Amino acid sequence: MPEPPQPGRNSPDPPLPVDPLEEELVAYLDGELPEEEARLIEQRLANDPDLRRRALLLKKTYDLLDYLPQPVVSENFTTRTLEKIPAWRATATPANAPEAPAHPIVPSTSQPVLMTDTRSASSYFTIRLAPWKISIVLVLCLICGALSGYGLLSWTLSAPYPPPSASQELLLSDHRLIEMLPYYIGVDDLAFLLRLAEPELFGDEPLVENNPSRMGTSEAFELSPPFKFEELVREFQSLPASRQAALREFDRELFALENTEREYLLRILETYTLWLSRLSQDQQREILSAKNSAERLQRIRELREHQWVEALPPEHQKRLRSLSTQDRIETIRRLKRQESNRRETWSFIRRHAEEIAANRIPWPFHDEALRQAVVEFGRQAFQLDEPGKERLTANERQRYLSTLQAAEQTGGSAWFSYGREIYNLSRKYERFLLPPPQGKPVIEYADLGPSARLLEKDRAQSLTAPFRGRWPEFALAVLDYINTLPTHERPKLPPLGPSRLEELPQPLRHVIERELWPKLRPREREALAAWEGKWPEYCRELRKWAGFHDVSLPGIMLPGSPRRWDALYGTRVPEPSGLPASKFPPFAPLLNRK
Amino acid sequence: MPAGQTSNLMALRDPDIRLMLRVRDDDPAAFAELVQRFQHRLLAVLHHVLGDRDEAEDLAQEVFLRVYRHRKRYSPKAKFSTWLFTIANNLALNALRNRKRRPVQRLEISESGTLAHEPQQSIADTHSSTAFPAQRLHREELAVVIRQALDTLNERQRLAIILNKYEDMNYADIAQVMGLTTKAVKSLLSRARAKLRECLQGYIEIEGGNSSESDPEKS
Repeated sequence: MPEPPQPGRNSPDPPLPVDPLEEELVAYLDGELPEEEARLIEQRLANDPDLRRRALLLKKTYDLLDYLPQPVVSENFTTRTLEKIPAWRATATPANAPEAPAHPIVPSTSQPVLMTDTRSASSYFTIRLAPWKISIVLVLCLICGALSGYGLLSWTLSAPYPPPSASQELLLSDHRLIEMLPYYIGVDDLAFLLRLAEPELFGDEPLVENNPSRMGTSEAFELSPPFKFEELVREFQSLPASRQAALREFDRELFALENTEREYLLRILETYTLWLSRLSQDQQREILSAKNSAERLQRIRELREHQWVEALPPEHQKRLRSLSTQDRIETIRRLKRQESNRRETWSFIRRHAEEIAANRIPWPFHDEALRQAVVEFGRQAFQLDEPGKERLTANERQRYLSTLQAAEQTGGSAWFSYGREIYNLSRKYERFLLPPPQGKPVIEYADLGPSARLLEKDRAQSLTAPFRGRWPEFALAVLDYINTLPTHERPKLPPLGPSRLEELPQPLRHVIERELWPKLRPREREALAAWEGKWPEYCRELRKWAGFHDVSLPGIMLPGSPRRWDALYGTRVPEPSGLPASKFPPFAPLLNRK
Repeated sequence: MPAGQTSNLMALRDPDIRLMLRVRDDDPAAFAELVQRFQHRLLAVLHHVLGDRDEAEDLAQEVFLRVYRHRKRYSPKAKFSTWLFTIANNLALNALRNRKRRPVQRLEISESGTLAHEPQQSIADTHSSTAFPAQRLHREELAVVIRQALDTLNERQRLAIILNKYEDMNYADIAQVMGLTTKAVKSLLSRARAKLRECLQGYIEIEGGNSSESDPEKS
């Protein structure tokens, strides 16, 4: 057991002599060195085992700090803090608490939100929702007007009406909930909101995509509350206990999310509310009266699609009308894809307008060696020179080659187009970017051992035979087929691909050992180890962690810093503050990036 | 770009700033949200700096009250958390100075609390790459050792390390919080890390003893 460190809080400031190399090393480990200096340190690390050891020790001792317990504030910390503020006491004491509902509460009025007084609602929205206050107030009035008495909101009526004393007691956190109440009007729960974030629903809306101010202008931040929200409080209190509980849960979950995620979802929520406010009364009723979340989503989906088709140019509409249902669906899908591509291209150009105008060669193409490495990666990854094995469609191949040719001939910012092309294609075909084994890859039935005969007939053959002779397509097709079988019918197969470090080809293994491994934290190594023996999952996990630690793995990832690729050529970039979670579809390509 | 526009843009990007602007504008719900949003982070930093949980909680409360008292003077020039931790830094350093005048007995280390990231199990139980060598310390014991290692740092080194490690702050932000240059932070952290390495290297395992190569498969 080593001697425990001796406390010496008051030791003089420079207890150790300053070591410039150590300073650089620490800054390198913290990702604080400029690129050039970082490269120098990397070179030294590659050549100096002693320095590597020092770096490893620095990192590991720093990782140890993770074992220090993180304290949690005592239970009533927030309340105790707030109670020290006179203004807060004034709003929270019973004497100043929101008044009880002036109107009698009857079960039939338990809509999500009922605005009985449009004047006060209007003043509320002047503060928070200035740009579209009229629409919101309108939707509230419309919904109230349209639905009171209909008893259509079965989703809020399902629970027995609670005794008033139970539902009227407001919790501290209800302040925010009440403030947000108008936004929550047509939302069932967080899962419902996540579905609204799908590109076909609201995820592709410019308001969400381009991330302007949540409120349309910055005005909302300059205005000074204090607003009255007694009316909203009353409406909230008039909801059945089950709906109140659901709203609290929704609000809690929403605000427990990371900032980036929450901000993204709030934009979705706003877009949805705005959209809802612009619908006709009948359409609003149709959506809000749906029996459950799934039905509501379905109605929203149908309406969105209908609106989208109606917004197409007349000639497209005419053509669509002439098609059979199946062709119509296909055509709509294609048109939507085109629209989304155009939007992404435009957003990309806007982000790089300055460099493009100055005809600057972008990273990584300004570096001759890196440029060659990228082009070579494209050639191999997409199997451009292997007739019969090409991965790209004819259109993709043509576009890829023409952007490359244009970049090579004209240079300058033409490399932007090529960079974006190869970035997008490498994302699209990422499934196939897997390292081959050290020995012979599985590309024929004969490579599958005794199980081969099971795969050489009927359906198995039709699904796998087209990929014979191709790595890793054949192995993936075999795996895909096997996975469709019930567990007890699955034949035993030899390893289909490398699924341990020692099975990887040497250049790749070398980079992993030298560059990636030192950056992995103990629990990340564990997570990776859990995939050992599983192909292709192990390789995909490797790629995930490499991306996370900004290491490019040769042969299976674009050469050069993955983060720089994402930052420069990614089309949907989240706000700089955080890492989006896996449940947000538009961020899916960036999931594993820090 | 006019200053007003810059601050607007910054506010739009940073939800914390937006929240603080609502606090500035006397939105009562906003302050409650702000406290809830930052209380655990603030407490963690203050606890690690002071080493005393009750004192840290009192101080965290004081930080929030100062934020509230100075809300009208708030202008979104930097990240909100930088502003918050600048206040925390000043109060923590004052508290440490006062403590030197009136020494107090430090208390807990292994109190119950969630671990930052690690599973709720004894380190000794793990047989993985995170397992420790012969020492096989229990995590409470390890926490004591780490606490003592942090105590060997001087106040500024400790604060810099804590902001860097637990708040994931970059050097520029730490510099702003502590009123130093980025270069000074760089050397502060370098000394602190070297000292931590000196104190803690006996508690970690580098594969192959003095060998320079690490074998990822075994580490």
